[in-house]
This record gives sequence, structure tokens and C-alpha cells, in this order.
Amino acid sequence: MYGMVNLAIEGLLTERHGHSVWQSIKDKAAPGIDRFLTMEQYPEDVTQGLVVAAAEITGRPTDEILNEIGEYFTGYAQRSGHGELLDIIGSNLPEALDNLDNMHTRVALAFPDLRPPSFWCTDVDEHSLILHYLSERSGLAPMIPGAVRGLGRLFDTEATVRQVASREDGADHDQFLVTFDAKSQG
Amino acid sequence: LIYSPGTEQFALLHPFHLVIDEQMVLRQMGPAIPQLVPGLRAGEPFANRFQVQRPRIQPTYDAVRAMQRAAFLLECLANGVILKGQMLVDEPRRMILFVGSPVIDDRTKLKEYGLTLSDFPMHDSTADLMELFSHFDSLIGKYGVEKIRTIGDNYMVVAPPASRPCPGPGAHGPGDVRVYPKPAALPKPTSGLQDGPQLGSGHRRRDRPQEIPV
Repeated sequence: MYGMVNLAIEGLLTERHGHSVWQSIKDKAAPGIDRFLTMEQYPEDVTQGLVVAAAEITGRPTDEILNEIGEYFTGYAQRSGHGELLDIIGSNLPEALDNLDNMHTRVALAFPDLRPPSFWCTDVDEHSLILHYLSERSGLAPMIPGAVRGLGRLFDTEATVRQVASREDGADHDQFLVTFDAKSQG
Repeated sequence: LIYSPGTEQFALLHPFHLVIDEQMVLRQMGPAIPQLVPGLRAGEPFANRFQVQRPRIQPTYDAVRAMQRAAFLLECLANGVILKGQMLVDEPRRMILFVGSPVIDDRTKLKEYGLTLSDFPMHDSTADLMELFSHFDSLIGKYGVEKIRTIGDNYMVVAPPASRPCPGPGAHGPGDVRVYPKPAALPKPTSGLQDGPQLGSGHRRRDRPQEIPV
């Protein structure tokens, strides 16, 4: 996992719980790492470990924390040099979701070690769609509802996201029902 | 629309195309493909020669049909070259058409892969990018910067931190890299600071062990 994800986790947890709580989470999960670098590769279990330690120290469930990380991630990506990419991802939420896979492919071309997930949409109508998510990593699906809501915010669109198929329950991959309604402008 | 090119013109426009049947057997390929994948013949299973890196699907007719809106990266197993392009499914004929071109940003790599600039169609921007990058190659030595690698359409250089105040415009030093002749549309440079170890110098995708997407 690239350091960018760990840095987003650091940003979120620092914002929500303060620097000293973050410091103790990091000391617990990754005692050997002084600080994360965006373009450096870190073992997968560092990311998982940060989430588990955050749950233990803050007393909150891991799914809730992952969901928050997802929601925080779009804004973090926008602020940390990926804003131009997000600007051209689409002109509304369903378009952006439809382009999510292409965007990850482009980023994968630039960073050969990146192993990004795949996304695709089916059952698209005016106010809803099914978002399919396929990753070689497990346990990160709870990030997706938050990430979709965060993406919706780029378009001033309120999205609700409900998981309708789960790999943990034996499905081939995770699926989410996304419903959205564009807010009236101004 | 009323116009469609004939097969020969199609091959000229898309020298790296592939036609794959429902059983994922290669039926046809563009004229530049045999140079890139020596010995490849129509009738071979697609999966013997290529791996779908993106999107994360198994290479089946149905999976490709479901992902026609996605950009595809195909890795040539023989040499690690990535073909980037799109897949279209011809439902009535039960065929898949792949149209794309190799992702090569370094002119010196062309020869290694058995290609020349003339293998690329005029509408492909790969050749322009390679030319721009080779201008950069010939210039960086002058300015005390070191090329790390090209990543996609990014040309990445590093410079040591300035040990004295920046000498200002016109001086030769880090931060004053200019390109002559000035191309019509030079991409906007971005810069950043990093104090860690030097980033993945010389690490190439093809050195990586094969990863089978789930």
C-alpha cells in the first residue's frame, strides 16, 4: 500500500481525535515508522494495523472508522495533488463512479507497484445504480460507502450507500446500492 | 454514419489491434503485434500471450463484455510491455475487438521491443511524448538534476537542495531547467520536496513477478 493511504488515515484520526491519540495509534501499529511518505510502499498489515489500533484506542468499531476514512479520502486526495485528476473524473456523481475504474487505471500506469481495485456500475437509472467493487485486498469494503459520499460532495450531491452483496458473506465481490439526488444549485 | 474503413485501412489505423473470439482465442492481430510478440499466430489462446492487468477481471468473453466502459491494460507476457486501450464486444459475431497501443515512454526501449516509430499510427501521441522526453534527456546533465524515471507521461527528475540562496532567473541550477527549442505546448512542471530515500530508481514494471488479478 502506498503511504498516501496511511497519510489519509493519519489526517483523519488527527483531525478527529488529536495529535497525541494519533501518536499512540501509530506507536502501537507501526512503532518502527517515524512518519509516512506519500510515494513509499508500506506492508499491507501496516494499514490494517492502524485501523485496528484506532478502534482499540478510541473504542469505536473498525467499520465505522473505515467508513470515515473513505469519506475523508476524496478530500484528502483533492488536497494532496490529485485535484486535477478529480476535476476531470466526470460532471456528476454517476459519471464519476462510471469513470472510477479508468481513473485507477491511469494512476496504475504512473505507479507500477500500485494494485488498485476495480469498479464498475450496473442497473443505472436516474437516481440510483449498483456499484461493483473488486479488490485483491480484503476488509476494506467498509470504506466504500464513505468514499462514495465523499465523491458526491464534489458535485454537491447527497448520496446514500447500502451494501447489497458482500464478499465476506460468500458473494463473488462487494456490491453497493447508491442512491443520489442532485441538490439544487444556489 | 455511413462510412467505415476497409480491413486494410483499419489495420493501418490500428497496428496493435487484436480480435478475439468467444473462446478467447486470438483470431486476428494488427501488423505490429508480431514484432512485439514474436511467434504469435492466429489460433492461439489469448491467455498464453497476454494478461489483463486492468480492470481486475478474468479474461472471459462475458467479463470483457461487462467492462466495455473501462480502459484496459494488457501485459504482453513475453516482454512485459503494456498495451493500453479499449475492448469492444461485437455481439452478433461474438467477437472482441481490442484497439490500443504500447505504453512506451523511452525511445531506447523501442528497439528492445522490436519496434520503430513507424509502427505507431500518426494519430498516436506516443511518438511525440518520446521525442519530448529525449529532449529532456539531452538537457538534464547541464542542470545538475538526475533523471529518476518516466512514469506514464511524467518525466521525473530530482535535484539536491540548494546550498545557497537561489541565484534567480537566468542562472543554471536546479529549478532552472528550460527546454530549447521551446515546444508549442510544454507541460506545466510540478515540483515537490522529499527527504527520504531516492524513489524507486530504475524499477521497471517488467521486473516485477507476475501477479494474477483476482
